[in-house]
Amino acid sequence: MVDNNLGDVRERAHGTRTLVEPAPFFMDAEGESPPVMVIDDSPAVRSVVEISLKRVGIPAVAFEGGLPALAALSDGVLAPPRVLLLDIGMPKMDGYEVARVFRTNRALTDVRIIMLSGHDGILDRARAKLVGASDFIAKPFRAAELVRRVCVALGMVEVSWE
Amino acid sequence: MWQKRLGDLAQARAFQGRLEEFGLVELLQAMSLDGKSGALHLNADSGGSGIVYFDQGAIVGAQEQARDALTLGAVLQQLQFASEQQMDYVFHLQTQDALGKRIGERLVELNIINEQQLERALRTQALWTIRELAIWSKGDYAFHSGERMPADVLAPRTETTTAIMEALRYRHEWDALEYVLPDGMRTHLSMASEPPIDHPLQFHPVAWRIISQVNKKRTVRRIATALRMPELDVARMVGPLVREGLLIPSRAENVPRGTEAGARIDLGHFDLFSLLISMEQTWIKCKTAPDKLVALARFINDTMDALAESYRMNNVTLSPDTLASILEREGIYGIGEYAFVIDNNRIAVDDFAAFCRKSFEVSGRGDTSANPMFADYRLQLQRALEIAFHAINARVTSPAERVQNQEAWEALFLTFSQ
Repeated sequence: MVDNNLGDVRERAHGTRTLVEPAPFFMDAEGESPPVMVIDDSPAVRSVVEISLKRVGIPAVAFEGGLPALAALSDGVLAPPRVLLLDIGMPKMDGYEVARVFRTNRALTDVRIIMLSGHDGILDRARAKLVGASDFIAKPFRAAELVRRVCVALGMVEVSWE
Repeated sequence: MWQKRLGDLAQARAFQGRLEEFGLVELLQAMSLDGKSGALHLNADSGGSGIVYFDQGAIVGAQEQARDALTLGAVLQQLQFASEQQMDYVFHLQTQDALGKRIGERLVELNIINEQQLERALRTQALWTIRELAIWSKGDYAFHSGERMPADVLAPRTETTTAIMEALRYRHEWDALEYVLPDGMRTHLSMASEPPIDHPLQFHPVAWRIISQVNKKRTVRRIATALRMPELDVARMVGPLVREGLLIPSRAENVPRGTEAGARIDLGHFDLFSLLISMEQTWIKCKTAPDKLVALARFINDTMDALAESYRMNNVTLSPDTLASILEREGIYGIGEYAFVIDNNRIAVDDFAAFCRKSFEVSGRGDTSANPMFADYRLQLQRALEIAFHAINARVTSPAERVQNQEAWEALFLTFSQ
């Protein structure tokens, strides 16, 4: 359960009715939360990332925005992921703002954040680093490269596409 | 009580559970009762998986996701509608022009089979697949409401009662066979190194024909296909031969691929997902109606380029009229009064861009989403792109991957429509 400093986020999420209803399929076979969370307002990115990771055996859960994701964490529906793939340009709450919540919340500080962005300037990368991201992937990205970077963040040694 | 149990199952909000609780036969009854449309996914604890597709309670397709799953080619041979040589020839054509036609269509066009035989073979493939799935007693099931089948899985509509009767009949047979054929029709057979000492070595002619086809690499299914006999008939004959110690069943791994699997181009190099992400990023940057329409035409070209590259990696040349033929097959020749100029699998984008600019100058500009002409043109181009995706996806060997690919491009189309 993520307990501190999320009251405002929870209120915003529930207030705007964007909370995704928790479902058992968020859990893997052992009943634990998936190790990877994706927050991106693009349905295509969410779909591609989820499927690409699934094909190498890495469960992922995806949200269309920061508010429903943080609400799921604060409500204890999900445990904090090990890796967060976070889009920067999103409506309502951008990726920098979401990253700041992760970095200022004790229960979420260990989450490795990989920023996704359609803007690949030096300033974008620097700003991502400032808010605590450990990696930055520019869009468009190659699915295989994204999976490789997630595996690195998860500390996995080998990845197979078979 | 029984009806109530099925009713509870049909109305269950989360339509998923364990096969120990409800087997496929009961699930079929529930689908029928509720008139459901979607896909029922089955995952056996032993590792197999399969999908049965429904449309308003009737079965419209079924596939087992396994290397030795029952193929249309195997069914056609087992029903004696086509010979191995004919199938090899058609597979060869398919490899050279994989996007042009489906195998069944090509067989009909070549007058190897007629429409009725194709329909019967497709229905048989679905029924025989379902009866195999129905013997799984341990595993999970989950119904995905509204999930559509990949275009190549479509079988004629079959009433669930027909499938249930077939599954029950097969299960009855299976009780006697499961101890001698542990993997069912996918059980591999090999000859005993020497016959049992007291065996008379006198065989029924059919049994002898079966023995003559046995080698370590062949499954019951492949033997039946080679003999052009229904696989259940072969299994019935194999049972006693195994019990007598003449044949040894095994769950061999490393099975050589059949000719039908070889008919699919290896699309491992076709990076659909990266292509989709790239398209999405391009789309987001397009602001005007002509820009967006031209982008869609480019996406079609990019898709064909990527496909041609995959073909080159397989040492196969993509036919230069592939795009024209798959669009023509779907009745797509252009948009509005404009006819696509297609050369070597590419839409002439400059020509199309000029048309778009002119059209929107005449009709007035403004917000693209509010422009009915834009919406109409976009849908037509999107349909062409979808057809290209479908044609490629139908060649992906894994049905699970085909479903995932479809999910991904449908997600992209959501972005197009926003």
